[in-house]
Amino acid sequence: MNSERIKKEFPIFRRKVNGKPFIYFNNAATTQKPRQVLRAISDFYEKHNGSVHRGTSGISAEATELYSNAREKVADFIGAKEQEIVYTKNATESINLVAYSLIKSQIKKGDEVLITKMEHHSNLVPWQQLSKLRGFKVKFVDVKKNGELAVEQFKKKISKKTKLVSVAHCSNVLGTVNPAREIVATCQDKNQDIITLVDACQSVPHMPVEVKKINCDFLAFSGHKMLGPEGIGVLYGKEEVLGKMQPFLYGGDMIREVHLDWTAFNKLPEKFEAGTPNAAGAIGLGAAVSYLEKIGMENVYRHEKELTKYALKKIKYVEGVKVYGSAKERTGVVPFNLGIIHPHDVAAVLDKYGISIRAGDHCAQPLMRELGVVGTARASFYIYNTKKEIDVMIEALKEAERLLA
Amino acid sequence: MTATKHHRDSEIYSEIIIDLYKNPINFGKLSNPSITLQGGNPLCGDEVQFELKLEAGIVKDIKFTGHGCAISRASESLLSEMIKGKKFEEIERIKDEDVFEVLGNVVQTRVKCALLPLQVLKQGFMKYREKPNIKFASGLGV
Repeated sequence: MNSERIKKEFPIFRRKVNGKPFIYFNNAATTQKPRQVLRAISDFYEKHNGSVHRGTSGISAEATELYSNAREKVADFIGAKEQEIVYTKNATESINLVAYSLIKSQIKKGDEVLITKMEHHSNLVPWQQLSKLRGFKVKFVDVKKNGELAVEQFKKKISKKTKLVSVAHCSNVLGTVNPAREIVATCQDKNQDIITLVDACQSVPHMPVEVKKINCDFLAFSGHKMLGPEGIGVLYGKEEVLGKMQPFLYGGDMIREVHLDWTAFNKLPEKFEAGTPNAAGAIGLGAAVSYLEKIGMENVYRHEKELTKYALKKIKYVEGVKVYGSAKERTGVVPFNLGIIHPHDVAAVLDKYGISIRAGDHCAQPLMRELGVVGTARASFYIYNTKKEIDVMIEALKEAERLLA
Repeated sequence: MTATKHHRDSEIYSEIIIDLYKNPINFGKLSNPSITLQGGNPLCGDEVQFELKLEAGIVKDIKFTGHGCAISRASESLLSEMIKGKKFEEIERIKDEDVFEVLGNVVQTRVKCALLPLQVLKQGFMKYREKPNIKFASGLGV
C-alpha cells in the first residue's frame, strides 16, 4: 500500500497549514475525501439530480438507480442484504433510531439496557435520557486499566430484564478493539431475545467488518469517518429485527398507504427513511466504499497497525509523555498527554507544524473520568498517513515540551 | 473582533502568555477571603478558583488556584492583577478587548480559554450584588 500515492488523490493535501505541509492526524473525528468521492457528488448534481423515488421522469429514475446502487455497495461492503441497510445522517442518528423505535413497543419500564463505560456520548446519552423518560435502567460494563473492556462482566450484568446490549466495536479514545462477536454470543447464550447493537464508527472505516460474523442485530457507522461526505450514515439491521420494529420518523416515502386515520408502512428499508433522502451523500459514500475496497480493508488495517506500532515506539522518546491504553488489539488511535501540559496547548504547538490532532474529551467524558484525566491529545491515522509524518509530530512534541514544560 | 487577529505567525503563543503561564502572578490562597468564586469549562477541563478580599466595594487582594491551558492560566494571572485595587463597577466595565489588548490575540478556537477568568469574575460579582452576604459562588464561567 502506497500512502504517498494515495495522498495525491486527496485535493486537500495540496494546501499548506501555517506554511507547512498539511499533516492530518484527526481521522477518528473525520476523514479527508479523495477526488473520486468529490467527483461522484458533483457528477450527481451536475448530471443526474432528481428526486429519488419521486417522479416518473427519466432523471428521477437515474437518481433512484444511483441511490440504490450505492446501497448495494454498502451492503456488500459489510456482508449485508440491501434491505438491511438504512441510511441515516450519521451513526448518532442510527443509534437514536434504534433507541426511539424500541421504546415505542419493545423496551418498557423496569427493563434494562447494558452498555459500557467506554462508549462515545452518542451511544450513552440516548439510552440515559430515554431511560429517564421511560423508566428503564442503564447498566455499565467497566473498562480495565489497560484499556480493554471487562468482557467477563457481560455474563454477570445481563439479567432477565435486559432487553438490549450496545457496545462500541473500537474505542474512539483508546483504539481498543472489543471482541464484538464474543460479546454478542454471550448475550445470545444468556437470552436469545436480547437485541444487540454495535457502534462500528471506528471499525468499519479501518478493518474488514462482516455483520454476519459478528451476528449483531444492529450496527451503526458514519460516512464521513470513511472518506465519504458528512450527513450520511448507516444503520445495518437484521431483516427480521427491522421488520418487527416500529418506525422512527414518520412522513413521506416511509408509507405504502395513507388514510386520515391510519397508515400502512413501506417495505424495508424505506420504512425507516422518512422524507427526501440525502442521495448525493449516499452516492458519495458508495464512491468511498469503492475506493476502500480497491485498497482492501485488510491492507488498511495492516497499514494503520504498522503506523500505530511505529508511533508508540517513537513517542516514548518524548520526555514526560504518557500514553493511555495498552490493549492487545487496537486500531490507529494514540491518546497521550505531555506531562501536565494541557492537551489544547499540545494541539496548538502541533498546529504550527501543520499537524492536526484532536485534544479534549473526545466525546467520552465518562471514560476520561475512568482514566483520571480531563482530556488527552489524540493522534489517529488513516490510509494517507506515513511514518515520515509521525517523525514530524515527534519533533513537534519535543518542541512543545521545550516551550511549555 | 480583535481576537481573530493573529499574533506573529512564527509564535505559538505570545510571549506574555508563555511568561505568565510559567511564572503566574497571584497564584495561591488567601488566609481569610471575603468571597470565593469557582468556575471552569467542563468541556476542556479548565478549573479556576479566585479568592478575594473585599473592603468597601474594593478588591483589596486576590489569589487564584486551579488548572487549565496556558491561555486560561495566563489570563487568570493577568485579570487578578488587573482588578486588584479596583471598584466593582470598574471591574464590571472590563471588556473582552481589554483582555486581548494585554494578552495578545489568540486564535478564534481559543477565545473562550482567554475569557474564562473574566466571565467567572463578572458572574461572581453579579451573584455578590444580588446577595452581598454570600461567601462562595460556584459553577461560574462558560
